[in-house]
Order: sequence, then structure tokens, then C-alpha cells
Amino acid sequence: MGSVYDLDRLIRILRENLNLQLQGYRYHAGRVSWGEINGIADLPLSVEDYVEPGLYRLKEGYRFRHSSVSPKVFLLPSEQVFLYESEDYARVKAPDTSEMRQTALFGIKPCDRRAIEVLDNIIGSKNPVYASRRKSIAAIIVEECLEPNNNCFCGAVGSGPSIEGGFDVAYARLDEKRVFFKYGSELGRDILVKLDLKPAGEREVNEYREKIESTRELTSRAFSRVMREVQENLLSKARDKDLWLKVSEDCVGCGNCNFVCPTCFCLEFEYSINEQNMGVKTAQWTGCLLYTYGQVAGGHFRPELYTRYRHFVLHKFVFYPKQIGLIGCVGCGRCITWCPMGIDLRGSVNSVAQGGVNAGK
Amino acid sequence: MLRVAFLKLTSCSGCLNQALVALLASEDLLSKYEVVYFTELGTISSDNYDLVLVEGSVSNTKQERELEEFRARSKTLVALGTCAVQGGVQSLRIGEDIEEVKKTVYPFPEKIDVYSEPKPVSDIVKVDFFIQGCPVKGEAVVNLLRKYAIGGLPLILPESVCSECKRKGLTCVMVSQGIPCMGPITVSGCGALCPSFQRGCYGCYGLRTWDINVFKLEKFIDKVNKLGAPGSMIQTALRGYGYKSFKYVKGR
Amino acid sequence: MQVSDSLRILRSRKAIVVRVVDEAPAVKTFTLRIEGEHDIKPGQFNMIYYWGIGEAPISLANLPVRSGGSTIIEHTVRSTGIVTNTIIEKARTGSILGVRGPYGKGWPLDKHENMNIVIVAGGIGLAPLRPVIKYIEKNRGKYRDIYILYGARTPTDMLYKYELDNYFKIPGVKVMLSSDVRVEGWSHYVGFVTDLVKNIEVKPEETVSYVCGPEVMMRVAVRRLLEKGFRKENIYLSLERRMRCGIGLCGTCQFGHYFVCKDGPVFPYSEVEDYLWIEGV
Ligand SMILES: Cc1cc2nc3c(=O)[nH]c(=O)nc-3n(C[C@H](O)[C@H](O)[C@H](O)COP(=O)(O)OP(=O)(O)OC[C@H]3O[C@@H](n4cnc5c(N)ncnc54)[C@H](O)[C@@H]3O)c2cc1C
Ligand code: SF4
Ligand code: SF4
Ligand code: SF4
Ligand code: SF4
Ligand code: SF4
Repeated sequence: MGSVYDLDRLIRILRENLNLQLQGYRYHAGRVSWGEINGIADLPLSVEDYVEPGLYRLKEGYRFRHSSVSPKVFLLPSEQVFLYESEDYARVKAPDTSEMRQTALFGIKPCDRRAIEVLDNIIGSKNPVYASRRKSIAAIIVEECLEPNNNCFCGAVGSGPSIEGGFDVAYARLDEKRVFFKYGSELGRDILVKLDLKPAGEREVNEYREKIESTRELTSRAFSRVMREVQENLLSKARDKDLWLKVSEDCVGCGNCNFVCPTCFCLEFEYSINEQNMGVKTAQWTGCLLYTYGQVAGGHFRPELYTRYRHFVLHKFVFYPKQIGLIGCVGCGRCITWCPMGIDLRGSVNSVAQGGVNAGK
Repeated sequence: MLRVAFLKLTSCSGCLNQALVALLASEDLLSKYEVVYFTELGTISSDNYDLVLVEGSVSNTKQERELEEFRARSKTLVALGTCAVQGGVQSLRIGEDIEEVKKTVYPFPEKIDVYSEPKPVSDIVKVDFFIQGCPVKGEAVVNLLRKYAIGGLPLILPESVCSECKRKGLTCVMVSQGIPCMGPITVSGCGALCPSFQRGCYGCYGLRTWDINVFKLEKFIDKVNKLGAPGSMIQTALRGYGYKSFKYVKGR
Repeated sequence: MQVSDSLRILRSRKAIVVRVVDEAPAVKTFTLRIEGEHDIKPGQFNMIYYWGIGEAPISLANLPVRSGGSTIIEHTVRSTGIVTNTIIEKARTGSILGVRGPYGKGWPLDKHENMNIVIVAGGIGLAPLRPVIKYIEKNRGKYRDIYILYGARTPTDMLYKYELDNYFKIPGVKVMLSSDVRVEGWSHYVGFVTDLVKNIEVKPEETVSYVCGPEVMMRVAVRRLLEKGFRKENIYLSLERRMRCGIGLCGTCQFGHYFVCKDGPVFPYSEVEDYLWIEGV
């Protein structure tokens, strides 16, 4: 058991004793973005996100869950440089990754941790930028959630609100002051030993358990059917054009859902020539909701918006499991929050899985 | 040396200046390109060009003639900026009485020879490449010139302004502050300039007509209206920069 | 010294154009010489890079030949967009192109020894099947009856016109050609190449079919072959999707749950039947 001040000590141990740079949700000037954490002042400790579909407000409080960024912006940055090649291919240069510092991810959520697992499985070592950044991660510190926001549904996909593995230290805020710590690895245990906290009493353990369970309960209600049925129905309804037209009727194809999604990894390649006359291979984020995603010379594989929205949903719930054995949606709700049209993924999944608009006809 | 001409029609010179500055600042390009014509400096020389960069919309028959002539004398013609590509700010007058407009703007309206609907360059001649922007970005021009020098052209990937906004790591002003923003329905290319200053995008790169049909547009307008976007602003944004292409929107 | 991942994964190899053949309007075949080995199989593809402009996935169009310390390969390119236009317009004998590959799963020729093979190709779709024909010609004893059904919009659009006659001469190979439109002097079938499927005479259970062409054509071919009694798992299609990386990192070639670049581009119909009939899946 500890307090928020122990978070500061934890940060210091990671930075000074383990010589790591810390990356995580960083509070600065009224917003929470992603960046380096140098001390407790950088943490979003006294803000809370209030969300609805298509709406986000940061207000006073102590339960920060999300902003539009996620660990993806560190592991798979929006712009990536792969390679420089001369016109005769005699000179080749890769961006220097030797200076990539050993890193601890700090304060990511259980759903974020699952998202990294998804990315590891779907891209892993295939993307050199991802691979080098992933290799640099030496410690993972997770903040468990004792209260979800309105759009969280980790319970329904089994990615949260608690974490059982794949982390070093996890903490949860029982209230504004009190913080409950646990470890998930040898390294984590060593760190907690250094922190030298007093053991949690039975009352506090129970309080933690109760809050986790109530959060799990709240985040498990998203779907009206069990996941296996949801998945089967989604696939069997893939041909129902009217249904998908209906659920995507508000979608304008802006791609925000793809960009904020912590597991969307799709990239557009770009080729340019720099001042040194080297050909540069770079990539930047794209997403299946964007028009150019499936566009080819003289044709298009998904010109209609409903086919693109459908791919988004099917990829998360049906195709990811076939590709890597994990659901691609970690239930973070970011795509719901940051969709300017307020389209609710949970609602879309439900209306399709329930037989949809044509069901009653 | 590749021979390049800068042709200006009805416009503010902002794009041409961007292009010229970008060219002059890139040493590698100066060894490959020779500027042989620049409207604002008068005719320097020449009958044939490799590349003509056209800024501005077409406002009268004299300009039509001029444009056709340049097209005939060039291998590749590029429409530079929103005016050339879509009509630009001048399109604000579409639907208004042209004589009234002239009176409001000019002291001697009778001297102004323009027709009521400004036309994008592609209405008059074949355009090989479009660079969006108001004004265009220097990097986009440099990218074109570098690729053109080795015999290619850039790949254009027009997306939503939101794409650039998110890639830049900005926090959405519409979702997080309720500021009306035209980003979702607007063509990318500006680097999400307005949202990076905490303002809503007002649509100056034009409407993403390939995704946004009338039906989607109405849904979107409803949305920004709820956030209190003044109707006049929406109208202005749509008509001013995207009206021309908006007319080509297919029904659902 | 540690080899950077980028160099290992995304580096293009230098290839010198040693021959260019005009095939049809806006279609050319490039013979490339690559230093060292390049072990590419029929049905696989390379990412061909026009330096500074961009890369495009292009199928192998002839069997690779080892010559001295280098490998000679062929690619047939049709001009459709930025990269392919530049290649068609600018690449000459002596030009340099970048080659990254080989990628993808090709035609399972080894698995199909002792079977009949029916090749159905539409337009530029003959390119990825040409190395199959060459392989069969070289290993004629390994396969039984061969049909080559090839159609194009007009006879002018056909590829490899200079060697089509030779295909007729390979023992045990029946060639059927078609032109979508009637053209003076055309003595072969007029209509869609898929119509020709009804003329083949083989036992479907001992026969596989390799199909490549525009997707609509492939769908019709599948229907015809199924009507003929072909097993789903014996019909192979070479699919095309928007593709940036070729190695499954960019995600953009997804077709249902498949990455066309690494799970394909050649698929047995039995694996893709759930998706092939759904628009935009
Ligand atoms: C597995 C495979 C094998 C192919 N084999 C051949 C071949 O042997 N000969 C041939 O002429 N064409 C082939 N194609 C099609 C060829 O790749 C496209 O015509 C080409 O990529 C067009 O690129 P572009 O830059 O000229 O067009 P643009 O539209 O300007 O291209 C933009 C980008 O889109 C991508 N792209 C565009 N069209 C396609 C497409 N149809 N498929 C995949 N990516 C695309 C490219 O990566 C390109 O960088 C093949 C495609 C695939 C997927
Ligand atoms: S679902 Fe929402 S965020 Fe995604 S593309 Fe459609 S409108 Fe944009
Ligand atoms: S699909 Fe939506 S809810 Fe699921 S992980 Fe992505 S952003 Fe989160
Ligand atoms: S949902 Fe779309 S953008 Fe996201 S990973 Fe899947 S295909 Fe890519
Ligand atoms: S989805 Fe679950 S784990 Fe993620 S922030 Fe919300 S409550 Fe926490
Ligand atoms: S601020 Fe505007 S451009 Fe940026 S994501 Fe929001 S709606 Fe899109």
C-alpha cells in the first residue's frame, strides 16, 4: 500500500536506479498527450476524462483513463523513416536506432497492455521501426482501473480492468491519495522491494477487489450476446449490405477511429528524394476508413464507405482472431469517443449481431 | 535544364510565391530547372516549356485563351492551389449578381471584365497534376519538382484533414472543446493548420467529394450546427472553396 | 556489426534492365539482371522500385535463369498509375530498377505433379502464368494434360504474341484463345475466355486449374469450373489487392482475414470462397 507520492518515488527508481526513460500519458497545459514522464508533475493525477460518443472533456478528478493517444504513438509513430538508398543502390543507410534509449512505459492501462500484445502478434518484427522501439522497452508499469469511463468496455473483450500478466508493476488508485501496488515479474518485485511499502491490509485488499469487480461488471455490458455468438453473427451478416449501410449511415470516412485505435497499425508507404539525392522510403499512418486505403490505379477495392466501416468492425472482431488468435478490439472506446459523428462501435456490433435492421421485416 | 513557367490567372500570388521561394531555396533543384516565364515579371522569353505551374482560377475569355496557349506549349501542366484546382475564394460570388459584386468591390466596375462563375483550370485545359492548398505548401512543390526531374510525378493521397490532425498528435478541437470543425469532410494537405491553433478547420482545401455525398453532408452539417456553427460560416466554407466540385456530388 | 532491421527488410536490390519488349499498348516486358541469387518461383512477385518514385508489386513473368554470378528474371508491366507509368516511359536497356522480394506464395506446381492442369488467363493475367507454362514445358513428363485458355479484350492486347504459337506445339498441351470483340482476321473464339471452360475434356477430380485475370473474370471462371465438376480446393486464383509493403507489415492488402501479400497472392478457392462473393470485403 502506498500513496501518490510513492508514484514519484517509483518514477525516480525507474529513472535513476534503472536508468530508463519513461514514456506515458503526460499532462500538460490542460490536455493529456503522450510523452516523456520526468516526475509526478507530468502525470495526469488530478484530472478525469468525461466521455460520451463523440465527446471528450477533461475535468477535475483523479480517474484519468484515456485521451486520443495510446502507446501506439510511441511504438508505431505516425511518421516512420525506413531507409535511404542512392540512385544506383550502392549507398544504403538506415535511420540510426542505436540511440534508442531503454524505456519504461508508465501508467498505461490494462487495455493498452493488451493492445501491445495485439501489435506484437500482428506486426512484431516485420516492421523495423516497431521492432526497435519494442526492443527498447525494459519495464511496463500499468495503472489498473477502479472506475471506467462511459465508453470503456474492456470487460466485454477480456482486456481489463485488471491485469494478470505482461507487466512489471501495476498500481490502482483506491481514492485520491491511496494507491494499491502489485508486481508481475521479478523486476517488478525488486522495484517494489526498493519502494519499501507497507503491506496492504485485508480491508484495502477487499476494497481493491470490489472496485475491480464493479468496474469489470460495468465494462462487460457492452454486448447483448456472448462474444462467440457476436463473432459468428458478424461474419454471417457480412453480406447484408443494407444492414451495414444502416450502421455506417453517419460515417463520413474521416479515419479518426483508425488513428486513435491502439491496435490499428495500417501504413501508407511514401517515396521521396532528399537534398542529398537519396531516395527515402517512409511510411505514415493510414486506416481502412480512408478512401485511399483500397484505392489502386484505375480501380478501388472498397469505394463505398459501408464496406470500409464493415472492414473495421470485422477486422477487430472476426479477422484478428483468425490472424493472431486475439480479438483486435481491446475495448478502450477511443474510436467511440473520438468519432466526430459519435458512431458507437458497441451499437454497431449489437445491431449487426442481433440480426440487424432487417431482422423484424 | 528543364524549362519551367509560372502562370498567374485570377489569384493572390500566394501560391506562386510559395513555389518560387521553394525552388530558389533548393540548390539541387536550381541545377535542374530554369525559370523561363513568370507572369508578374512579364514575359522573359520562350515558346516551349517542360512544366507550367498555373495559379488562379479562370475569370474571362482572355484568360481562357492564355491558358490554352500555355497548354499547347508545355509538356506538363500543373494546377497550383485551391483557386486553380477548384475555383477558390472567388467562387464566393457564385449565385450573386455579378454586376452587384463588381460595384461592391471596385470603384470602376465597368472596367472589370469577368464572368459570373470563376472556373477551375481543368474546365478549360487538361491538367496533368493538381497541388491543393491555400496557399500550397512549399514542400509539396519541391516534391513535385524533384520527382518531375527524374521523369515521374508524386502520388497524391487526398484524405481528411483529421488524418493530418491525428498524425500530428493534436487533440481534436471538436470532440474535446465543442468547436465546430470542417476537418472530417475537407481534403487534407494543409497539415491541419487551423486545429493546430485550436481553431476549427473552415474547409479551405475543399470538400472530399468522393466520400461526402449530399446525404453525408447533411448529416455532418447537422452535427456542426448542433455545436453552434453559424449557418453563414458553413455556407461560406462550402461555397467559397468547394462549390464547384460540390455540384458534381452524386446522390446516395 | 548489427545489421539494421530496415536494411534487412526493406532494402531493394539493384537490377539492370537488359532487354525491353513491347507487348501490347502500354505493356512491356523487362528482362532484369540481378547480381547474385534471386530464388523466385512462378506465382510469386517482386516489389519493383522506380527509384524516388515508388514501388509496385509485379509478378514473375518467366522462369529465373542463373547466368554467371547473376540471375536473369522477367517482369511484364502494364502502365496504370504513377509507378508503372514511370517504369513504362523511362526504363530502357541499361536503366536501373530496384527489386525487393521474392514475396508471396506461388502456384503449388510441386503438389500437382501427375495431374492435369487447366490454365485460365485474362489480359495481363497471363504474366504470372507464363512461368507456369515454361515450367511445364521443361518438366513435361511430370504433368498430364494441359489446357491453356487465354483471352484478352482484343488480339492486340494479348501478351507474348511472339510465342503463343509455340504453346500449341508443346506435346499434350491444348491452347484456346479468345478475343472479347470480333476483329478481322481473328480465327479463334470470340467472347469471354471463361466461355471456353466448357470445351475442356478432363476428369475434374484429377485436374487443377490456375486462374488469373481481372477479379470479375476470375469469379466467372470459378463458376464455370465448379459447374464442370472441379473441386473447390483444386481451383487456384491469383488475387490482387492494394499493396504497399509486400511482407505483411502495412496491412493494406487485407482480403477478409488474409494478407494477400504473404498468405497469397495465390489462393485455393476453398480458402477464399467466403469472401470472394462479398463486395469490398
Ligand atoms: C501480387 C500482385 C501481382 C501483380 N503483378 C502484376 C504484373 O505482373 N504486371 C502488372 O502490370 N501489374 C501487376 N500487378 C498490379 C500492379 O501492382 C499495379 O498495377 C501497380 O501497383 C500500380 O501502381 P502505380 O504506382 O502505377 O499506380 P498508382 O495507383 O499510382 O499506385 C499507388 C500505389 O498503390 C499501389 N497499387 C496500385 N495499384 C495496385 C494494385 N492493382 N495492386 C497492388 N497495389 C497497387 C502501389 O503500391 C503503388 O505504390 C500486380 C499486383 C499484385 C497485388
Ligand atoms: S466511424 Fe467516425 S471516426 Fe470513423 S471514419 Fe466514420 S465518422 Fe470518422
Ligand atoms: S476498435 Fe475502438 S474500442 Fe476497440 S480497441 Fe480500437 S479504439 Fe478501442
Ligand atoms: S481496422 Fe483497418 S486500419 Fe485498423 S488495423 Fe484493421 S485494417 Fe488496419
Ligand atoms: S477500457 Fe478498461 S482498462 Fe481501459 S481504461 Fe477503460 S476501464 Fe481501464
Ligand atoms: S480538430 Fe478538426 S480536423 Fe482535427 S480531428 Fe477534430 S474534426 Fe478532425
